[in-house]
Amino acid sequence: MNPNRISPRRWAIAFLTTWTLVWLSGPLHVDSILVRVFDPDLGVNTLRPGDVVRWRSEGWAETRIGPHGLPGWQPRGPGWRSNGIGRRVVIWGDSQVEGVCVPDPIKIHSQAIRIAADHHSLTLDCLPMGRSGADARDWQDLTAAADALWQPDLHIWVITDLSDLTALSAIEQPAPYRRWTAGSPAWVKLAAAIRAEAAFAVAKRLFYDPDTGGRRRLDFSLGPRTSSVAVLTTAGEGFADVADADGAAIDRDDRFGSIVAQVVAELRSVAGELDGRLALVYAPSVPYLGAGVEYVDRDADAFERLRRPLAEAGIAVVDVGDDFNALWDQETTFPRGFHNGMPAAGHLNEAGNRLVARSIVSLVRERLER
Amino acid sequence: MNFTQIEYVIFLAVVTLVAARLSRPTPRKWLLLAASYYFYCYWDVRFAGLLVFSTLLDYTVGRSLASATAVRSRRTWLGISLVGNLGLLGFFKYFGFFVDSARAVLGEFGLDGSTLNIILPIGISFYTFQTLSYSIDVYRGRLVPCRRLLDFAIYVAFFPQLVAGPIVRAAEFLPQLERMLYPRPEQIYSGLAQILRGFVKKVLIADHLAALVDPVMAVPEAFAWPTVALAVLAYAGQIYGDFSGYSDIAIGSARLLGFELPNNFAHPYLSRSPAEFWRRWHITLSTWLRDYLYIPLGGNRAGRVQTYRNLLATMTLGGLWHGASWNFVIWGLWHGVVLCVTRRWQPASQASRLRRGCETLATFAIVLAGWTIFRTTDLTRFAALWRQLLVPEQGLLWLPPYPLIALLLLVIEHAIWASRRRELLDLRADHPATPWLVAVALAALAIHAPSGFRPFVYFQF
Repeated sequence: MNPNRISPRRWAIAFLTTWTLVWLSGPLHVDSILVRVFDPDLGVNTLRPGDVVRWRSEGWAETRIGPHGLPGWQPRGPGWRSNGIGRRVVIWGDSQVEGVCVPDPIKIHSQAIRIAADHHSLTLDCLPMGRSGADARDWQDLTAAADALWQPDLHIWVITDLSDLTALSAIEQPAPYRRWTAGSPAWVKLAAAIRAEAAFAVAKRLFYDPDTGGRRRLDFSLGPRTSSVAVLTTAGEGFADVADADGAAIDRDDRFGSIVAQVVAELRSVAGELDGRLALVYAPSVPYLGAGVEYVDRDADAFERLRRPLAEAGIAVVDVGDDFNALWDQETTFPRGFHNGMPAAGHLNEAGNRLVARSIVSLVRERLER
Repeated sequence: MNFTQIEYVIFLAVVTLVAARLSRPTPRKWLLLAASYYFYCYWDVRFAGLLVFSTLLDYTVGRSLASATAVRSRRTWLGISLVGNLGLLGFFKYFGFFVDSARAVLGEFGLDGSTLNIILPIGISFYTFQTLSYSIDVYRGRLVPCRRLLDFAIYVAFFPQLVAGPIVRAAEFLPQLERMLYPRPEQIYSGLAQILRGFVKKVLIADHLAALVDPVMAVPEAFAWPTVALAVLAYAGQIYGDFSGYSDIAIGSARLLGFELPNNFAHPYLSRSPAEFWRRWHITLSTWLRDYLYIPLGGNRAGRVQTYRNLLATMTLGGLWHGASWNFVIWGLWHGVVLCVTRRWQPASQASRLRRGCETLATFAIVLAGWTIFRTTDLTRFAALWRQLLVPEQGLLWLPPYPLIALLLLVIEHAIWASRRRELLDLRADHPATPWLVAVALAALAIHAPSGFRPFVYFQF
């Protein structure tokens, strides 16, 4: 027999069968295709209510999309607030608040509702306005619509990366929120309908660069290759290495001083529009794995410089960093990371969500006691 | 250009197709040379000069050795090659290491010294060893010097093996350049199959294992002992999958162009003695060190003490070849000591299955201990790792699924290779299982490759 004789029929059957199995088993190992539709109340495109979003790449969870595209949220029945003790908060954030990598019962908002009820006899409704990639600029844009829709007692911005907050200073940039939540084209809806997640995942891998998150660009130029230097901090890098695009050092203090001033001014303005119903929860990336288990937030100095003027402006700020560190010391558990991801990095897990939820409840109670 | 980048796949396809369209050998050779220099300059155009220097130096030495008859003159020419190549390697690879070590010593006495940051040109350890072996072989009269500069330049710069081997001897490669044969269909098929095997080893096995290895080796004290033990095992798998995967892609790419490169790995973790391990791990480096260092030092012909000395020197220098760092030196020394101690350990060919298993496990344990030295760059980490293994303290028990599956795949692959079903791994076109294995491998690569760019481990050497 010729060892290199190829039977096209056998190969075709093998490939067809394998990809059929991949297609059928997609829900076990491939993320869902996200479909976004227009929400007239919020005036933006949101995840499609009623969808069940599977997340497999970090954690292992299903999220039922509630009204207005809120992940894992279901509205309370009518009249829950009529006795006067029910409270409602809207929590704003990025993918950490969206929480698609954890099941609905352990998302931040679900845990906050439970902690309030179980430990403080408080009836709480907590609406997760979290969007992957969103920052303070997006939250600011949507605050008025959300406030009109739900009339919450408090808006809480959950800051997991300080650059999400300092985005407020980049006032020359257009608001990116509407760009991220652009409605899904028909072919995406069709791909979701026929459950073509596997093919979608392959296409994403081919056409998107996982290192930059942007569209993949083929690079055939000659070296040496230099990495681009971010003007502002990127996740986890801290403000220590701020440099301009040419690599020249910038006067960090001056630069950050002006950022702080702009951010505080914007926050004062938001708080003013909300009659002071604004608070911040800061959930820094601690502890993390560096030279050892590191407890000191790389953005601690920068955060302190923001915290003081915010307190003077009457905006409550809670730092969950100490609780995160204590979690490791007492339970040998990191607040971030999953079994199938990197420990102490990435998204908040059940324990991290619990601590953030506890802070939210304490902020609500503090507000009630005023 | 990394072998696992899409750019490389396109580059290889274009070079292969254009080479197949060229009917005369000389244009094909020019194409190979141009492609190889482009491939090298893709990393850093500044280092192309080193490649040119190395090529011209040893080509000239080879031609001069051919015409020189006097012993002294021949020795001088060989000396020029040795000084030139080792000087280049020493400066770019080891200068900083020795300066830093000297600074550390000076620092003990309260003195300070400045240092110079030198970038390591990629592949320099590999191509300088190739050109050195060429000059030494010509000097020994075992090789007829290459007449055409173009051929020699391709030998030095041939892109599939330029940056991380296999280290090809001129005697193996130059005759192929003389013939310049077109690849046969079965060679093309087997080249593609080998590339696929390489991708699976690198992307699906090594890169997934790296996700476990990197954090645990960085902070071993943060993890529970089962996780640390798993990470040590995973590192053995990672470095094997990474380097043998690279070698497979290199061999497969060369085969698509009509060239055969030597095999670099033969399932080394199934070895029954440390000596056998070194006959099956990074074979082209091991044989290079044997032929150009160990034997010239005297090998095992001058008594026990001399043999031990030669073994220790060869393995320590072999360790240093991997990188300018003390952990590589100590790793080499560790293997040298092990080879000395186990010199009389000759696995019997008729041993029972139990004995064979025990010998394989013992050898693997020795190799694993060596990898802990190789992987940990400082004594603190090394001590923390072994403390967590021997006197465990509380830590995070983390058993990530993808690395566990990758380890399992590696075990299955080794079990198949050790069994009578070894032909399964050859992916022979007429084997009924091959279409299924290929389809599953491609689907897994398309969907479950870890995201993000991970360079090959051996590129740093």
